[in-house]
Amino acid sequence: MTEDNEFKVRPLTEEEANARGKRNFWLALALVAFVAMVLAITIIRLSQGTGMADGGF
Amino acid sequence: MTDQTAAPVTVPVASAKDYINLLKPRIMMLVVFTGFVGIVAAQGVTGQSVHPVMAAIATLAVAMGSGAAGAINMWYDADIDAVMTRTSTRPIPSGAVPAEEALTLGLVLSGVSVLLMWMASNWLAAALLAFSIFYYGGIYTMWLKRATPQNIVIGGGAGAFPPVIGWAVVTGSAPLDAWILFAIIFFWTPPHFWALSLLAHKEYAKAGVPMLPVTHGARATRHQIVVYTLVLLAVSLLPAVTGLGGWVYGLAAAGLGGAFLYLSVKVARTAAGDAEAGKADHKAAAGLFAYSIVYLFAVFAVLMGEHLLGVHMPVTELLS
Repeated sequence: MTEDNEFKVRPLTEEEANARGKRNFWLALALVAFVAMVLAITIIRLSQGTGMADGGF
Repeated sequence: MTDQTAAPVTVPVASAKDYINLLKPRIMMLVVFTGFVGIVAAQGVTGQSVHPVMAAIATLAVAMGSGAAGAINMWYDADIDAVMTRTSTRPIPSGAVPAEEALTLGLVLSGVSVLLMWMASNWLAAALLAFSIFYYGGIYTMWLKRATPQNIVIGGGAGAFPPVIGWAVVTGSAPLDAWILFAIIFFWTPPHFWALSLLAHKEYAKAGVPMLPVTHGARATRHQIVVYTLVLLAVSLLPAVTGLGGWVYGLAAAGLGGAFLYLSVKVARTAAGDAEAGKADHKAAAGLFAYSIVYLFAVFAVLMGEHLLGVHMPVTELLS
């Protein structure tokens, strides 16, 4: 590999790094919330004894 | 051999606020509220209930679906948003959020919201939510908005689905009462939006959007506002007839609708939207626009209050 076809990575500015960090944080939080909701739905459906039969998940 | 450093890499520096704005939070509030009223009214009328956590997740799914449609709308309309002063500061035209990122967010939120809705309730509610996203993001945004002055009339259906979805969450069905709530929002949308377009018609003309004041003039628009307000007034009284709303609702709907009609007639008598329009004319149109928002919240709040507070007494029972 020659030097010409290597990707040259520009270091992020402080503003860009902060913005990326915040986005990642909120994305992680959204994923955790999604998992928590799926868990809650599953527990409620199991406790109610309902599932696909009533048109739901 | 290509020069890998030729194109500068841009890293978005958008804040959380930019992403929230992408989801059109003000519309989302209205959508969530009317969807929640659908849930409450369905429980009040049918006696069926839904687990509060499931209702909360379903309401969140409606909010996410609304946000998804908003993001898709902003992605597609970025070109005309950039032209109009009112919308030029939105996240995409301002450069805060890349257009493709907005589209991705809209599509992902669409999928997740429909999935969550299906899991928390049933296939009908999920299908209605999916269709409402498609209606706003596809039918209205990509087709109607730039094609016909009836864009707001037909497109208004997109924002009218939430109470039907809410009803379906509880019962798994969409009966007449749910569609009456749909009709209230459907007939409310044109006078609400046309009041705004009387103030912003020059912007729409500049962007090439065929809003009614642009294609048919301000006078025709003011006339249409009165016509649609009359229909809205009649439709808003239907819940009192079917028993969906009680006598308290009936009185409130008549009073609130009467005030709406008064303000729309007031606007019709002005020159709002015309070249010679003065401050008072603009003020009348702005007043109607502001009141229309209060009106919809109030009508749905009274309906919800009747069922939540246990004061719902159908007019037929009161008369017998």
